Amino acid sequence: MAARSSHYQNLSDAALVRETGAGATGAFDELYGRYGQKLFSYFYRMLWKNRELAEDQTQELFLKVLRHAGSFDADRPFSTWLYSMAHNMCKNEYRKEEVRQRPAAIAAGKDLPQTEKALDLKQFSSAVANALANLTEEKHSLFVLRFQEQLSVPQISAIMQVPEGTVKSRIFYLLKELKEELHSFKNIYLYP
Amino acid sequence: MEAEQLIQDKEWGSLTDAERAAVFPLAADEQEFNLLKKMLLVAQTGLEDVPRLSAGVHQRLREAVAARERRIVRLPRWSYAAAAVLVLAVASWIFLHQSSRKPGQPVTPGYAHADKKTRPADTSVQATPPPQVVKITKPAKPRPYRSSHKITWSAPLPFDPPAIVLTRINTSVGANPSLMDLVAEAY
Repeated sequence: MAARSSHYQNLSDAALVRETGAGATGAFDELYGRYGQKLFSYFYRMLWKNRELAEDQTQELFLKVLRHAGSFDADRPFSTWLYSMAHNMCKNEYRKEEVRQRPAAIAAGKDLPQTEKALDLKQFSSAVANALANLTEEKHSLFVLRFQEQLSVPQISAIMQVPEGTVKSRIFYLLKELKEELHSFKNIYLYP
Repeated sequence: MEAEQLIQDKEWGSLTDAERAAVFPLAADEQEFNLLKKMLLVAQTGLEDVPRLSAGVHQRLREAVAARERRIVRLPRWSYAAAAVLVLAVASWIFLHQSSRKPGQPVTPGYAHADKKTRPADTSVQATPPPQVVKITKPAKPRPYRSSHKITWSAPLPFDPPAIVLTRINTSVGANPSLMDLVAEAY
């Protein structure tokens, strides 16, 4: 069993997908180990920190992998394929959610004193979280993929199906927008 | 290196002139640079504690994969058995069909069976021997009574229904003198 497990550990993503499609549970375990938590984190961050919804989506995503394992193009990175499906699933969820339940927008740092005192990191974190929650689905997805999932620009370009130049430009404007949102923290010493 | 990558990876003091120029549209000074740096750091690490994915999801998915494995393993056995039965059935049908066909009978597999069913046995045509070739003469135009006139009829060709009917009518009239008289009177 251990030998079999290590056998799967040495396989590429594409080979694991093929084996999983043929019903190899060991291959599936390895694939799930590599991407299960990552994709769950992505769904969790994207879908309003709703744990149940994120778990359902993760399960549905892997069922899709199982169903479409035969049509997976081995020349394409598996992670990109996976995130592409996850991205589209999130888009669908946003569409379903006609009125998005955004947390009450807290004016990030607006009421904070503009002094040189060290702020509680939690306060700043809360302001960042609120700023992200107020982003549109597209911008939020871009932020999560680039800065939380640490995907490269070409990967994001493939996932979102937009040119790399567009991704770079969107990242630039996204950071600019967030900087404006958190402008009141500019003069505050944030390092503990 | 992209501006956001520089913000994440480097400190303001360690930026070269080229790098400062690259980050300038986003961070014009050290304070803006540090604000963005801190925001990205917070977003990556401590922004929210993502819970662990529950084991139930893994278990359910594993069962789905195992079910797929069982289905894949079983499928060939069923398909082979079904294919074997089908091949046997087709071979038997062809064999039976070939052996039941008489020599000289046209090979019309699609219609032979239907012919047997629809055509009454007593009207079946015998291909051999061929019927005597006879000449059908047109019935003579009836004339005023000539009793000595004898109508001779030849046997009709098979599969010529009008000729058969005509023959029957003419034969029966010709054979019955009273009917002939009636016809003559009518004329």
